Amino acid sequence: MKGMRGPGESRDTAMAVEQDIFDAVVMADERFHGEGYQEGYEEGSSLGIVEGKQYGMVHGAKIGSEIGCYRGFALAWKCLLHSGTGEKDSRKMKVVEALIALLQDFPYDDPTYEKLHEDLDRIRGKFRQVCVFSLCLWGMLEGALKARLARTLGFM
Amino acid sequence: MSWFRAAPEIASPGDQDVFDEEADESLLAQREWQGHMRKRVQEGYRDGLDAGKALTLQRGFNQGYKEGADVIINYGLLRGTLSALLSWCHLHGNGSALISKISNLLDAVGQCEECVLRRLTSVTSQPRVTDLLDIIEDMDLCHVVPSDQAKGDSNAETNTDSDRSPNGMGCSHPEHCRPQEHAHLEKPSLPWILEQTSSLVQQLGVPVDILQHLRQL
Repeated sequence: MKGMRGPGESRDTAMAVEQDIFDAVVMADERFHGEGYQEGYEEGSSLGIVEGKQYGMVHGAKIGSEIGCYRGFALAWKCLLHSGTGEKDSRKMKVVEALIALLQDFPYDDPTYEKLHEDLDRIRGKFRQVCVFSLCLWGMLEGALKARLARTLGFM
Repeated sequence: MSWFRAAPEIASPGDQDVFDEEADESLLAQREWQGHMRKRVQEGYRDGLDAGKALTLQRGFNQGYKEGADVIINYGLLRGTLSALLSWCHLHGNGSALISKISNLLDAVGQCEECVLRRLTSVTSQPRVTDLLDIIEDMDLCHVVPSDQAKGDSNAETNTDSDRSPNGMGCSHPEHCRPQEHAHLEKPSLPWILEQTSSLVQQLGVPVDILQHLRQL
């Protein structure tokens, strides 16, 4: 135990005590915040998966629907054209097969594919070509189908 | 700064000396302190929630995207095939009866597709692989639902467990597809649509190979 303190020493001690209290308060403050954070973080992690999945499913389904439609259309037409023998048919066949090839290489279920939009545009363009030019269909398409295709392709 | 002095200890009201002039002040300070700390916990919770979500949202999205695409692509295939048959009919001037039959089938596929997607996205908890296998299994087995299976309509978008009927083969699934206001109409089921498509192909006299890519359905 020290002897009598001088005025300067008293002031230092008082300041040290205040500093300790201040530190304790800040620590308590951070501790409470931290406990809340921990709980929130766990909750948020599982919420994120569920929410993300909802959004993902809707978007994935849209793409799957569109790509599936093009694919079904192209494969069916490939079969229909096989039964034809004209020269025009072989030219049409080439375009249909080009579409099938594009679709084959497209990772439709991968949202992180870096060329997603680029490839999708190319596929849509090729599909339009198949419909409009090769198969001379456009004018013959039934109203509702035409409207649906137009909506899908984003034109008209 | 009165709360500052009160920080190291929380005195109970019984300890207060009736002559202690700071009694009220320190009680107030305690409450202020507790309130402040409660707020800090709540702020921490919110911050943690946002951080946790941000971390896993993208991962969930990628998972859901793949599942949605893989399930729905089959309906797209069917629609595309029917669209091709429709355009074939137009090109060859086939009767309007066949054309309207195909249009109806196209609408039926659309309805089925919407129904499946609704069911997929209504799952609010982490879906198990078995749930998705059930969905796909259900698609293979369900025919037109007899009226005694119509009871499940009200559960249309809730519990996936309700889809596992006692015989284990989930024929209760299609009732979820039925719009309640059209209960008297035949509900389009995938096997029915495939059956109709198959007979259509025969009627049109086109090679039956045209349905080869639909075999996976």
